[in-house]
Amino acid sequence: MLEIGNSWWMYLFGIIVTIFVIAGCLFFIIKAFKEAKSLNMDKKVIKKTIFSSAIFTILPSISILVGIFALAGQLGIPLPWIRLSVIGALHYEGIAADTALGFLKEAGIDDPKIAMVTVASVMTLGILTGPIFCLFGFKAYDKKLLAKANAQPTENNVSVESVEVVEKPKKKKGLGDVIFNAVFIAMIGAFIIWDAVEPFIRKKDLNSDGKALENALKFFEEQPYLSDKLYIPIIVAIVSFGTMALCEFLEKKCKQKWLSDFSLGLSMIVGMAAAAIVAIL
Amino acid sequence: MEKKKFVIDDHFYGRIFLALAIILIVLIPIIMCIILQVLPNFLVILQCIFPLITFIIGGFVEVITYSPMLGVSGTYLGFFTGNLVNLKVPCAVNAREQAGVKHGSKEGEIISTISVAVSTLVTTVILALGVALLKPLEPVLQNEYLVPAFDAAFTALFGALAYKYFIKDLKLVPIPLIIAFILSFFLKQGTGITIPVCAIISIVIAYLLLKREQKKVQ
Repeated sequence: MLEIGNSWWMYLFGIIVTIFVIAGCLFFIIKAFKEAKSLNMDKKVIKKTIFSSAIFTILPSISILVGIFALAGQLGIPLPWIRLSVIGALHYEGIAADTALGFLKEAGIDDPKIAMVTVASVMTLGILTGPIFCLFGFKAYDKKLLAKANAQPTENNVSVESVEVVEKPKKKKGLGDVIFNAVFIAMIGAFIIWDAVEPFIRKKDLNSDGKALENALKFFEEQPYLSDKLYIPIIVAIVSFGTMALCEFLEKKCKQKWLSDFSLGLSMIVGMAAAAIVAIL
Repeated sequence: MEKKKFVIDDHFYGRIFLALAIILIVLIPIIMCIILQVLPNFLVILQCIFPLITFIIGGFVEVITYSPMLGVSGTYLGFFTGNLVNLKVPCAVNAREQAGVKHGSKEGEIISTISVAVSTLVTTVILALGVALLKPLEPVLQNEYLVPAFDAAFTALFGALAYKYFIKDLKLVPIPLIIAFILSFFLKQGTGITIPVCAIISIVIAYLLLKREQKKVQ
């Protein structure tokens, strides 16, 4: 699968997407510049916006790069690059890829070509609702908000944005938030438990026969270092959990705000490093 | 009147950009199928819907929640390039605050657009440079000592996410975890079964806890 994932044509897709994104950004920047000029906006304000936005973006971008590195060992470099350059976010891409790989494994599909296109399809399709809704529904939604803003007796031409921004903090924990969090907790819990118990199940299956034995042999053939260290996934989960807890502690209690951009990538890398160290020991 | 014209223009170009962008990313798996001469496993794609349902629904919610903070062009650009919560939204809000422009004004729209576009540009360039540097490291990624680390990438991701989400609602955590353990360890069921079962149980518990909380408040 890595061979396909790192093929030259996958890199070509990455380059095409990168050029498309850069062209789109330049188009909107030039358009905004023209508008700013027609409004006689202060050039210093525009320059400051460019500078501050660029500086603001550097650290989170490096953390996204760490995410590409973390996923590259499983999917190759280009697919995480493409997915994290457009629409994606590290936690979504990881979950989508692992979900697809898990179902492929359960279905007994080990053709790397089918696995790669299925993973790429799942990662792409799962994230499309936002852009599609944005394409067809945002204009109508924006008009509705604009009408709402205009209908309100406000000072200084208060806008669509402020209507929403002002309303947001008043929101209470609703059923939607609760359900979302409940599903997420269940999903993450199920993934962790499966990753933790699978080596033990496969080890037990080495004493059985038929398909179970076949799957167990394949499992340890792919991950031979697990055969005498069944607990590695448990250690990885604990270490990355602990690292994330430490990051959040430092971020909140020690005011290390910069950590918020790195906590997920850093926790992954530390957890992964723990796996490599325990496997060597 | 002038303001209205500006907004309509941005929707027009934004929609063209987003439509092209969607076509481009959908084409990638299609072209992969053509090059590799295989089809994806559609059953697996269908099976993935439930575990990814929060993201699928989340797409709608994000447009409603974040678009007012991104402005019109910023929304179209942001929804294609992603990383909204952790990057684009705070970047645009920060730029507007620094520029001292009002939300929804023409100036605000211009500042948001420039902010999101510059942010996207910087991310894209950093990722491209980073990938160019990673490319020579391809053999390192397959090094036998590092294979266990990369095999553990997803477990590490879930471990880290577990802290982030479990801590939000600790009362919700034990029962789904126990059910997941029983289903996985004793009944040898993979995530295809455990996720929907645990999610339904988790939703029921969350609903009951919310009702109890609401009753207490009343």
